[in-house]
Amino acid sequence: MTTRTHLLHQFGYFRLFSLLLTSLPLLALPVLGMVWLWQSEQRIVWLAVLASCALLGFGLHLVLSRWDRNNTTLHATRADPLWPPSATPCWVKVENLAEQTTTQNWPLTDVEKMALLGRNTLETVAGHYHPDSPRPLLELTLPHALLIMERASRDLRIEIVENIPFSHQLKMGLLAEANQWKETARRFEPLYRAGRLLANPSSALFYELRRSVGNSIAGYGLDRVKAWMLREYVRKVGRYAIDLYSGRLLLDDVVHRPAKDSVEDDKRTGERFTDEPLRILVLGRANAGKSSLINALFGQVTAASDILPHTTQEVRAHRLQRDGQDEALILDAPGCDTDLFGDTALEKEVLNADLILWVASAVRADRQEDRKRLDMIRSWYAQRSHRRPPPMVAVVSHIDKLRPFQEWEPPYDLSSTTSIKAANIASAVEVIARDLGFSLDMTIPVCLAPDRLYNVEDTLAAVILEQSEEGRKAQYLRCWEAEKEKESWDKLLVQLKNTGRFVSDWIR
Amino acid sequence: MFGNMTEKIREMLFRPKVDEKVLDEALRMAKAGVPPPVVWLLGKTQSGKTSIIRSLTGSPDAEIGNGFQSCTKTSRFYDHPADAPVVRFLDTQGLGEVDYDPSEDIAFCEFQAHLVIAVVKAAEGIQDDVFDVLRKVRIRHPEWPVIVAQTCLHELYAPDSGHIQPYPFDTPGWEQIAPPDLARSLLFQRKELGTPAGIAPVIWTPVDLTLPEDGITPHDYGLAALWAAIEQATEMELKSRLMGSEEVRDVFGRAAHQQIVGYTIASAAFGALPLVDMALVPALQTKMLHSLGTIYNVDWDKKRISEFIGLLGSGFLVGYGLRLAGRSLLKAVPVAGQTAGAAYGAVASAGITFGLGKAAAYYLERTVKGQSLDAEAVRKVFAEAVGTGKKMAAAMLTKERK
Repeated sequence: MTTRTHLLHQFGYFRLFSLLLTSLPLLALPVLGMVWLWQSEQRIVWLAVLASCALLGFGLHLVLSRWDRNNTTLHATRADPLWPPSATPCWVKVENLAEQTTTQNWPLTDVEKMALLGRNTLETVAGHYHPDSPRPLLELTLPHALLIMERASRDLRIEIVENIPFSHQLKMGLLAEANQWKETARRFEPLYRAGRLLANPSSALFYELRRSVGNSIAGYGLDRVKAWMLREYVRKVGRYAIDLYSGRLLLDDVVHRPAKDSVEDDKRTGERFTDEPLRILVLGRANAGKSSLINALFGQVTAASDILPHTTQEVRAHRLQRDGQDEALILDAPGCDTDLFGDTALEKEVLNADLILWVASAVRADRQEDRKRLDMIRSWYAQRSHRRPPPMVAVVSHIDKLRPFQEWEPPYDLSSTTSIKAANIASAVEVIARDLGFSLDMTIPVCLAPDRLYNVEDTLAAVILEQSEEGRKAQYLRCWEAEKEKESWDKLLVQLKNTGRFVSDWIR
Repeated sequence: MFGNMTEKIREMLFRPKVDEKVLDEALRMAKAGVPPPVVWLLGKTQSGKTSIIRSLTGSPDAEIGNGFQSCTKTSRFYDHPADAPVVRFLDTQGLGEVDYDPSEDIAFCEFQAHLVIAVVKAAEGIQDDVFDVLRKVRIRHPEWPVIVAQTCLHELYAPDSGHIQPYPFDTPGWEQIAPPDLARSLLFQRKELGTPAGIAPVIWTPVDLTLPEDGITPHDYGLAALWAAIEQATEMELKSRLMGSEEVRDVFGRAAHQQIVGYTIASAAFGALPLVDMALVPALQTKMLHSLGTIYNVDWDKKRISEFIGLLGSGFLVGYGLRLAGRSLLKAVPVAGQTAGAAYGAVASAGITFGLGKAAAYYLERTVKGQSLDAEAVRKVFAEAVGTGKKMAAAMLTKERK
């Protein structure tokens, strides 16, 4: 209050008086207008105009706000695409909880209630991950709990800067002052309104009517923002809680840090990757054409291929660079039905792969071995719900050896009914897709003979490129797993070292 | 008297008063008494087992697949020829098919078989499942010879090149003649199997049996070598039974020959079975003559019958009548006569059946081709064939006693 008196004092009473005197004719104008309306019996008309204008304005506002709602959507936190499939049901729970949250039940101004809402969200997620634990909230480690606070705070900052205009110029003091003004106004308002009612009953009535309508107009946007903030709050907490409880939140950032194996395989290629490459694993039975496929993809002889089995004696990594495609490590494996590549070795390579190309010969009908191994691969990933299975593409080789034997005149239109060869290729693809449990669009017929290369550069390369997006997701979880394993050891080592120092200091 | 005799034999040979059912029952018993050898074909799915049966027997029932999808879904016997089989091929569902456990089928086949032909695609280096079965079979049956047919040679040829002619794989030094990829693949599989347990040989035969419309000539590349291997692997004279002698070269001739051999074996079996009425033998011969007529698409009308019997001449008539009489007489003598009569009857009926069949085939072939017929030649064919038929029956009976 002192500030205001002080300000008035500074301005000067005479100056204020002169200002009022100057504006007196203007200030008298509404009063004179009202008198004229009263005397010329036009007040009914005026009241009607006032009512219809208010109604029209309100209607226009409703239309505009609906249009607004349809066209501008506030940002909502979504499920992390890199999450393992096991997180999906939990995210659905969080989304439901967010939808059920309303400003009526959870006023934003009540800090304690906000804390309770956050706790509820955390408990929902914790209960999903630890259904047997009586107090699932306790299933987290201290550094992780601190980490989630840090992350959530950082996110909140970014959100506010992005979503509230001029927030970067907004100071805490200003916020406090604005609040104070609001409080004073609220204190005197009823008194002011009561006075108005006594002085001018009819205009006060209209004023009250306009106020309640106008409040809802002005308040609409605010309510929406409030609801958004509440729901976003639930989603944000839910998202980090899922990260936390699925054990995915690491103490260090892991994105695209090379996993241990790729570092080793890099040594095998003789070059270093700065970023984690996509690991494309080429599998299949002996002489199915794995090495030939790699040669075809590279466009030059890179891997040794032969008509006899055992040509590829061990898993070999080749580095693929191509226009428009990221670097990838292509891993050539020995035939999975040879002694050189047992089930243990297969499992290790498969769990380290981001994309699998399964090569099967069109002219070999005995696909039991293929199916057995593919089922094994599928079950290994099914057992690991925190891992996303890498996309798998079936590559059907040797299509030139299908009947008629002596014909090879590509390109073949597989939907054609006139070409016997094309029809045979189409049926072979269908049979192989069924036998091996692939979908038809993931079963690509190719010819890999060096002088008869067909469908590799275009179709197969396009499918690989398309699937590498999915492969990146699988890769993320693979790196994360590798990192997590490394982290526990690294952290333990550091902790032990520090303990050791402490103990030695103490002894000294 | 002569005319009467002709009439009688004609009646007997072409319009026998024998119940069809009785004859069929007798044939079934003969089949059971002298079971034809069973050749078991073992291999992965789509390796070409049924193709081999198709080429060996010419049976249109042997349905073959498209190369990328399993075709034979159940184990199946191919009696060849169908009515009076000389050999039975046992076709099996291929190994390595998705959702198929072959262990029961393998046990069944092993129990039935007398000879095993393993069928492997030359281009598929790894054949562990087939070779494992072979090794186990040889431990249980060390005396079984094994034939390994290496098929689909064309998959290893350079584009636009055909089969090497003449067939080189049965002469030493073929490794130098064959395309290097093919030679290496063939040798690799031989090395993979190694030497299984047992004493009998393992015979490797590369073959390529394609369909005529595939355009790879000849479409039965290596079939003769496969026959030779079967011949070498067994003492059952399968080849002479199925292929006939050198003069039988065309498809009709071979089919006719197989029919004749089948009926000869059946009639020998009739003779050896004491309970079978010898009157059934002419009925059997009739059935054979009609089968031959079907092969050559010739109807045995009255004119043809008379002409054929006329060409055989009076010597045949007398001999046929006497033999029939002698056989019946001997069989009538109790105990000793039964045995002697059976043996005599077996050899004699087999001889006549074979002779009659060969003579009829000769007659039919020349009739179809519109060539002149000369009684002397027909009689010569008959006389020679009677001898061959007797030898065949004698050899069979000796083996039986062993």
